[in-house]
Amino acid sequence: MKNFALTYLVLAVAILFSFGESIEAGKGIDVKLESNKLSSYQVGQEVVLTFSSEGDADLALFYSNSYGSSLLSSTKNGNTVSFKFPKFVSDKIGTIVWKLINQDKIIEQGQIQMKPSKQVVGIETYLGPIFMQAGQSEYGHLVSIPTDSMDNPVETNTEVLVNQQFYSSNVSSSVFTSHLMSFEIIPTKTQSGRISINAISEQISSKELTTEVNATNPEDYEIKAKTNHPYADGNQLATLSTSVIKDKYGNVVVDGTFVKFLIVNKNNSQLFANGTTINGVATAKINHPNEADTWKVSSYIHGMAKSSEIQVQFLAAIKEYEVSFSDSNKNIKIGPIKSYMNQLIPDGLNVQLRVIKGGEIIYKTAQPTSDGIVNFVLKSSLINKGSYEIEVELAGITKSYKNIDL
Amino acid sequence: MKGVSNKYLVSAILIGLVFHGTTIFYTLEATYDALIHLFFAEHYASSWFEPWSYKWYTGFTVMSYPPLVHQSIGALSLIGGLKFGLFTVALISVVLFITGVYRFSLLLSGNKKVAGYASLIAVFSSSFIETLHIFGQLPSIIGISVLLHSLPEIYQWIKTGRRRYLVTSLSLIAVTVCSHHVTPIFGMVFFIFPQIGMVLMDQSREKTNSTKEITFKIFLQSFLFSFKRIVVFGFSSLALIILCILPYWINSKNNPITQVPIPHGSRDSFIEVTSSGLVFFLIPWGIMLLVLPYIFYRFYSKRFLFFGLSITLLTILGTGGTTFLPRAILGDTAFDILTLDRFTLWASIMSLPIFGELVYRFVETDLKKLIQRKYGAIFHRLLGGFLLSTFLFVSVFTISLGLFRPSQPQTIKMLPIVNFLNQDQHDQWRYLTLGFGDQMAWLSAQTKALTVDGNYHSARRIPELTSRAVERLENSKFKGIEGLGSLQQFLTVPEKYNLKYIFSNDKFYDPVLYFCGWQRLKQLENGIMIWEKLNVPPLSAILPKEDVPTYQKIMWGIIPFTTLLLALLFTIQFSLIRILRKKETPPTSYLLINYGYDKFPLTVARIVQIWGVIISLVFIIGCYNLYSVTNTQDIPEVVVKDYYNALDFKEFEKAHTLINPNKDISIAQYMLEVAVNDGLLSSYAKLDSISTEIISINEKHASIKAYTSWVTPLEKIDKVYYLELIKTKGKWYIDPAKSNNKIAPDQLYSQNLTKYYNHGRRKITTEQTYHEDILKSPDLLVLSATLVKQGNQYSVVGEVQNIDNFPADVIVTATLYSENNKQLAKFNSKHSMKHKLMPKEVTSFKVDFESVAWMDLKSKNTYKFNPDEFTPINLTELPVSFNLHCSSNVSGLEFYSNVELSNLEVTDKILKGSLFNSGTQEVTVSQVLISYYNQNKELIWVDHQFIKEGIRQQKNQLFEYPLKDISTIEKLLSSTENCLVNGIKNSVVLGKYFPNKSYNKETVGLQLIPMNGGFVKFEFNNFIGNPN
Repeated sequence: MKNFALTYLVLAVAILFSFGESIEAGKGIDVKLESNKLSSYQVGQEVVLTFSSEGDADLALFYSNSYGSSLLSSTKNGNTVSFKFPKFVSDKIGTIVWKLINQDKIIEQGQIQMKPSKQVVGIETYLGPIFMQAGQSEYGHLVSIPTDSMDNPVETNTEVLVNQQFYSSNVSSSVFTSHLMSFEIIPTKTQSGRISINAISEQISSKELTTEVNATNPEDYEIKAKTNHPYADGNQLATLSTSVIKDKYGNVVVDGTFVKFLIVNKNNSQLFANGTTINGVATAKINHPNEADTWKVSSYIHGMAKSSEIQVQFLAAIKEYEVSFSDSNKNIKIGPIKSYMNQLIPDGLNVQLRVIKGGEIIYKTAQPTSDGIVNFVLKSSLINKGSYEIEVELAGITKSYKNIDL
Repeated sequence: MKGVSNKYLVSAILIGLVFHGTTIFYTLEATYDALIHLFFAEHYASSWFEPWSYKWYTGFTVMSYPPLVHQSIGALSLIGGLKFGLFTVALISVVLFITGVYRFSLLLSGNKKVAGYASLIAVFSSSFIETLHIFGQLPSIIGISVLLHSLPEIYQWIKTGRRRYLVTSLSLIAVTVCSHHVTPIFGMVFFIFPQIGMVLMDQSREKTNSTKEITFKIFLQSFLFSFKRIVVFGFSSLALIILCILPYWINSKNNPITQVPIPHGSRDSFIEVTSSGLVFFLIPWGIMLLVLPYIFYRFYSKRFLFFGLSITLLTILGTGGTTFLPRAILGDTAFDILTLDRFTLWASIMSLPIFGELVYRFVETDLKKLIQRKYGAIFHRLLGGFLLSTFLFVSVFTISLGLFRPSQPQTIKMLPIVNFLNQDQHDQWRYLTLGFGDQMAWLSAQTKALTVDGNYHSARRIPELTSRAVERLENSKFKGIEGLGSLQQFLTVPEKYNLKYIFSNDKFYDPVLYFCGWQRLKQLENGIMIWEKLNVPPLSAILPKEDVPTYQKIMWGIIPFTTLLLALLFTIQFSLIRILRKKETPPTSYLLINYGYDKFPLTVARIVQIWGVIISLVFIIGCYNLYSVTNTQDIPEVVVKDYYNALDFKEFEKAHTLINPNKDISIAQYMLEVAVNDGLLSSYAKLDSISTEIISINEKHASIKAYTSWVTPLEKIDKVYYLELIKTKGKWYIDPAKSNNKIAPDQLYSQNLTKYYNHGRRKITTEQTYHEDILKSPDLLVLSATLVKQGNQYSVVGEVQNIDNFPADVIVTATLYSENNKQLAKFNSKHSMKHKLMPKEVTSFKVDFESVAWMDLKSKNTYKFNPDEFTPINLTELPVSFNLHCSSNVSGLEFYSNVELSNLEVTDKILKGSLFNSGTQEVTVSQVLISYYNQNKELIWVDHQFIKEGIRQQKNQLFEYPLKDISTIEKLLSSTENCLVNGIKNSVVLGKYFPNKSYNKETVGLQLIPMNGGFVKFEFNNFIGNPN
């Protein structure tokens, strides 16, 4: 940054002085440009400015091009003074502005145009974006810049051939450079897939570039549910899955698309499960309810697509259970609890116990079953002596025992 | 005497070099300060004259610490590396200290044997060992050692008035100043003033026949006689203190310490905080505590009277917050800034000559005779053996303290981190370390990358840090609300400081990193986890800097070393002249003083004896109490507290011993039941406090309610446990709670998942990423955005969807504007949103406008821990509009969407639900995002709850959520007009993806709640602590 600032400063001062001093230009010293004042060269050619001068003038050449500004020192040969521009300056297309300076005074100035070459040696290409959505609205943009051996963009109106390969179809088009470069619009396809692209100018080809067309917004789809058995045992998993989700062109949506399954149970609670698609199918698993229920299951991709609603019915796995009291009603045993085939239920079903007096819950506790059985011990330190109502609830079945003395 | 080298001193130096020389290699690098000094040294080694360091705190000046020690290490590092410099300087400090104590003792006692004993004791002095091997305070040691060396010179100057003594003493004072600024200032008061008093006493003594005859009048005469010398010395040393480190004083004046004081153990009450008492009182005093009365007795003799006053003051100041005295003496400000341990250090160093004298009398002269006469020779030997072994035990204990109670995490291999920062331009961003301890300074010394943190808290500059008592972000978990509060702000708005990488050595911070939107990059071979934040711009090429005039830079670079060279020159030169001239120099005057250790006062011996017994008893009782308080099963409350403390420290074996043995739960079974519980509470919580309440108790049975409060990186958790205790065989035991015994349905199951990998650069190159490898930012759509007000606090809530085909990392920034379009506040959404969105996924978000916490010091009313603490920004004008910037980057990491809501019960005020994990990873912390909608299904508020227990695969986890009353929330403005997505207008994105307005804006799946007839929606954000 500092260097730039300095360059600008020097340039600004130089320009300022060039106005101020131009009236005095050439005073005292007789300098004459031997080459053309407004000359142009082919890029890569050697550029030498030659002046005839009489006397012993101390001459320097100040020049600027797109790289920046600098001073050149002279080579003297008799009455001629010549300035040779360095190769990196004469290898670059564009304008070189020069000023001949003698003791801080500008005595001559001019411009040199460096003209681009016609010979293409390389081709620079830029393509973006590298992913697009299927349809009609999106497009990619290919910029190609054929360059010469000195890395300059070649002459305007150079032809560039753009090839696009999409599955088995190959499309070519010609574009022409303008303002140093050429560009081509790559419209997206309605089918998802990969477009391979290259650009060729005068037999020189770019590297292979690709842009990928992905499915666009999903369309509505169907869902289904799969269960291993129809009982509400709170343990087995129900699998919810979608049909293959596609966009309106029939492309399968990208992997990882987020799908939400909504479940409304008999209490109107909105439960949900999430799934992400693989090959268009999203799957989610959720455990069976603890009690008989009919789930209304639907699914959606937010704002874009939804499924119709299906119903999944769960039958009661536990129909009846026993409650027995012992140790002056302090010990309450529930079970053995049996499931749909009269087998003991799997461990971990939550059983709730409530001690009620006058409609008010005095004490409540819950325990998971183990080997189909739950034992509650009501400690006398927790409940005062008296007569209570005891309520047991499991798998949606509530049993109530009144006038139990504790 | 001349020509005979003192064998005690020579042995002391040799033993000192061997003892400390071998041990520093194991201790010094694990000390608190050594690596910080190493960091400073590295700075000088690489840019000697440039005081500005960009590496810490977004830049700070090294003129905030006296440079000599750092510059010495830096200069030596050019020979053999930084650590060579450090150890060399440490060894020099050992020699300086031992010889310093010798000279000081000689000055006080006038007896070379006494001084020899003192120097031997100095080698093993526990305060010295602690300062060097535990604290690593090299400048402080060198400062005090050189000060000790200067004392005899000052004595001679005032006594004789010869100028060369003035020159040597001033040159040594200058070295002290350049090593450590506090030492000469307090040294003046505590060492040099009493010393001058002693000279005057000696002068008075010469005019009289015995010490007893010295009257105040004679003393005053001596004072007036030496007044000129004292004044010359006083003003010259004052000038040196100012001049030698002038840039330091200028810097202190320009950047006064306005920060909140940092709590320091030396200010604790040592009785309440026994660990501080041990480290800052017991260890420094060590065995000298047993003979304290003798030390005071000697210091209050007429010659040492002023030392007596000085050591009394030092002793009192060293007691910290135990009594009110230090605060009353120093005043509030000084008390809160100074670390008081240095007073105890100085007191113990000042006592060394007297202790040496006592040992001399015990081993060789009158005390030996006294004891042998009274109790016999055997007792004398036994007592000697006991005292020596206690003395050595304290030394060995002190030097290995770092091993028993590590103050630092295990040594971290820095090379992988240094390599990571060097590769792929990672040093273009700032980094942060977590859980590195003081080793972060060593990392900073080795890399050219910059960190927002730092390890020299006096130089902190960032308001987020200076406004709180946070030494560094690094160890913020130990600093409560202020620590984690600061950290959370840095994590939420990392772009403010170009903070992109975090090196974590402590998994405690993992949840907060995840929920603030950071992602795990990789684990290095040294076990350090690298976390990364996307969308953070790199550092600018030119960083701000506070420059100082060149004259200051030159002073800072040249003066300290010059003082060192001059001091060496003068000291050596004078010795050389002495030797070359072969002139018999008259013995130094203080060597002529003879105490004649021939009659040890019996009363003193008695008092010391009684005192020693009392101190020993107090110590034993203290130890017993400490032991018994934590080891009893007689009281049920203690059992409960012990149980939770054991769980907190993961001492499961101990916890198991407190479980009811009648239940027959084996340790293996118990471990299984405890170990299967991952989660916020069991893996990331630290027990903050516990209190118990007895519900009922009788002979055999007790019901106890335990109120526990746990600190986690995310929030403070208060949890009440109901426990049943049983008394068996006279001991109380806890009845274990039933564990979740649900059987998962599948033994083996499979799951298909979409995984992503981003190459970064496909072509290996050091250039910037190739054009074709740059991914487009995924397009987002803001579905709604609403400015709401609750109380005086503003928030922006809304919903955002990833409508692109790629997973996205999302950052939502909201800005509030006043009526005149003046920007009022700007903040990012912290953890009230999902930062990672799969294609087409939606998240609700809430942006709260936080100001720098505790900026207003008056609002600080408590030090109590609360990581959830929130300091709302103080707005000067009313916000009327807002805009929203959403930025996204492709990121395929940290997704886990296999958590289902498998049951939900809605009551008036509480939602009870059950989460089910159907995937293949154990969810460590699940966050439930609850979005509130009004009757018109408009989003009004977003709340969240962290589930405290983890969710294992194919298992349920119940949660209860108390519904929030949203009627107090005022909706101010709802519009997506000023919402931008990666710089593009939201409406433009909508038009591009849904040209026919085919987007269905209706939010489905809302749960009706009884409260206000509104709705809620749930989303789960799942953190996997240990992905497999």
